[in-house]
Amino acid sequence: MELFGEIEEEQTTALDVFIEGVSKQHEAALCIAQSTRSMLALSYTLRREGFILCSDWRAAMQELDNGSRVALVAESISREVYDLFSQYNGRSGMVQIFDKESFTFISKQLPVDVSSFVLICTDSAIIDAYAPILLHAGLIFRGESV
Amino acid sequence: MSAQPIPQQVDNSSAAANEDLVVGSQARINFYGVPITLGSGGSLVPDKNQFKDDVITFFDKKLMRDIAIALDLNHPLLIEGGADLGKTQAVDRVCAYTNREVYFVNCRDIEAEMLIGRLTAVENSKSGFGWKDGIVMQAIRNGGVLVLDEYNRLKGEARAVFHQVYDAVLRGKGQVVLAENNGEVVPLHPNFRIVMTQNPPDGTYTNREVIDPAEISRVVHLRYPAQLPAEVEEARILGSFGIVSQAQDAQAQDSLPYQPKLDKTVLAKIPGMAEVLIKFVEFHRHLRHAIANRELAADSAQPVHLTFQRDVKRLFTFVSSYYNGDLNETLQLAIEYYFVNRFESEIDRQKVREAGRMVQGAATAHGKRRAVVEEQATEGLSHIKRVLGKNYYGPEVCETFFGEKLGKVPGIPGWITPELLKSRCPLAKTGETIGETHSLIFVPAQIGSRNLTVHTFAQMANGRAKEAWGNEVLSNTDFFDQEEFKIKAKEGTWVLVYNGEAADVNEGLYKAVSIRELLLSKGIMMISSRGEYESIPQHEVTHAAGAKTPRGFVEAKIESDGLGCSFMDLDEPGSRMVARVKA
Repeated sequence: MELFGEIEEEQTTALDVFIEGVSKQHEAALCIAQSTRSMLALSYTLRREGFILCSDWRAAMQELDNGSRVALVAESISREVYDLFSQYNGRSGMVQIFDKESFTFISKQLPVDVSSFVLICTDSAIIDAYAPILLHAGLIFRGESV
Repeated sequence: MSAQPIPQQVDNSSAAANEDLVVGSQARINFYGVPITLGSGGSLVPDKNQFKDDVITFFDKKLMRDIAIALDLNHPLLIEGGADLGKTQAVDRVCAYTNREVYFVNCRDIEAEMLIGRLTAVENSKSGFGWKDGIVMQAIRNGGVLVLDEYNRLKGEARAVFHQVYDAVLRGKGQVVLAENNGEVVPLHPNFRIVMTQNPPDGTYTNREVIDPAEISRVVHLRYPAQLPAEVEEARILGSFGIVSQAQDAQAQDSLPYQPKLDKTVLAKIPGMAEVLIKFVEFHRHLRHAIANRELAADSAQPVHLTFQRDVKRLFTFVSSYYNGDLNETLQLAIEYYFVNRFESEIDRQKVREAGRMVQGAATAHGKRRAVVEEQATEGLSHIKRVLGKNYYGPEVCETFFGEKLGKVPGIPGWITPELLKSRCPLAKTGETIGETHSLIFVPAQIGSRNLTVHTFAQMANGRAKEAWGNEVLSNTDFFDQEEFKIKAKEGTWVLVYNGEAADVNEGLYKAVSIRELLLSKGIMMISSRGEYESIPQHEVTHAAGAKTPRGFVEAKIESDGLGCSFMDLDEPGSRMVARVKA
């Protein structure tokens, strides 16, 4: 029990460090959960820390454009989510995405100096995406929230 | 920290030499040695601020230079290299500094209709149904740079979309037919360009396809290493902490000349041309043979494929655009760009370079044959002088005044054309032309053996003025910080200055009207720079003060926010005009 308590404390600390780091960096960060359930737990923790939770890339992009701290919860990594994540880092916030639903080309220069972006997903979503998500990630947190 | 990567002013040995031969009328700037036409701007031009902290090494300069050449010559370009080299950033950076809009698309899971367009619900249609362009068609219509990231992840049907587009670009058809929209014929905007980036299909990266020969032969394929060279990595980390390393300071290559595009009749007259072209055929055969026998590109996951006809067209485009008077030199540059760059391994690259040396002409190796270019330059300069009349203050005026030789004198920038000078100046209420309201002034980098700074200029001008009139020339040298403005330039620069009325720069009464709007309205940006100092695109001469009809010299130097110029009027000793090219 004591050992379990130590682990809990260590994980919480690591997450705190991660959250603090995300706010200081200009790069999109990745939060990898072990399961869908722990993904939700991580989401709530980030919300508690002042992040706006989004489950839709359009909403996330809008909030980022407003300079907010955004946590995008993605059960699967769609083409648009990958575009948003990779361009936020790789193109210093110049994000251009073709929205298939509205059939419009969206182009924004997101304020990476003031906004913060965390993508919360699972390991399996990364594997299924067949995309180099990890290559584009700034800070990475892997673990559970308490 | 060293100056940031900003393109330099065009070095045009024969700019505007013969306006009939000048390609287009748009402004060109010298982007890392490449004289490139500026785009027409728009909301999709990347923001330059995002690059302010970038560390630019010789590797990045070469990458950007290669991109700039392809954009300038309108070649569809495929850049292949490992992740993290900075391919996408380099494209964005080139577009930002050349005022070109970017239409970026990641090719992962992209569908053909997202590229081309589709019939869908639209608001401005009676039926409520109509055509909506995809990304490619938007770039084609609006004249942007279409950037296809992770190109070798594109799948079958979507990939086929591009064959028609490549052909339209390569064969100069200038239009594509939209079968999906009742056969609509869409003309290619003259500024439309295609750049593709991809990681090598060698198994390191998942889901990368090998591109077939028919497709890859349509594009200029440039290969970069799978990993950054160690010295570049070192330079990037050092540069990030403000330490300038050799790799960051080094130049990529010498400038390509700016010159009017030469036509066949001019090229045919170049001595030794036939001889070297026959040798080029031998070289091409040799390469094809070596590739077929796996003596070259044996380990390359993406096969190298050469097509003679397309390579001939490319060679012609390169030579007609960048011939500098030395045919051997120009051909070696073309071979490096189109052939050496197709190979990834350094061993292969050396082999190709070695084979490329056979493309040399004995006649051209012994002397620079610049007659064609120089003749045109002289004609062009005379034309500009005639248009400007008393508003021309070239190096000869300066030499006469100081009685000393100047340093190297570059040609007049390509954007200063007789047409521009003859066009109406919107600043003038009485309908004068730009050539009447502005002065074209050469600002030397050196007078005699002395580098030109505000301080040295003031000293020399004072000495000369005392000698000539017994008066001193006023010079507010305390306006400038001496250390900050040390001149490192080897060449002087040309400045077009508005001869407007005075305003006191120190009191901030800057002239409200800017010639920038005029220049922009003509698709021209005012750009000034000198030598090693980086230039300032989209900067403007916003303020002019002083002399009524200036006849004197200008002094200029780079500041953190622009180029400051001061102008001494020789007719009115003591007067001073200040123009400031501001960030």
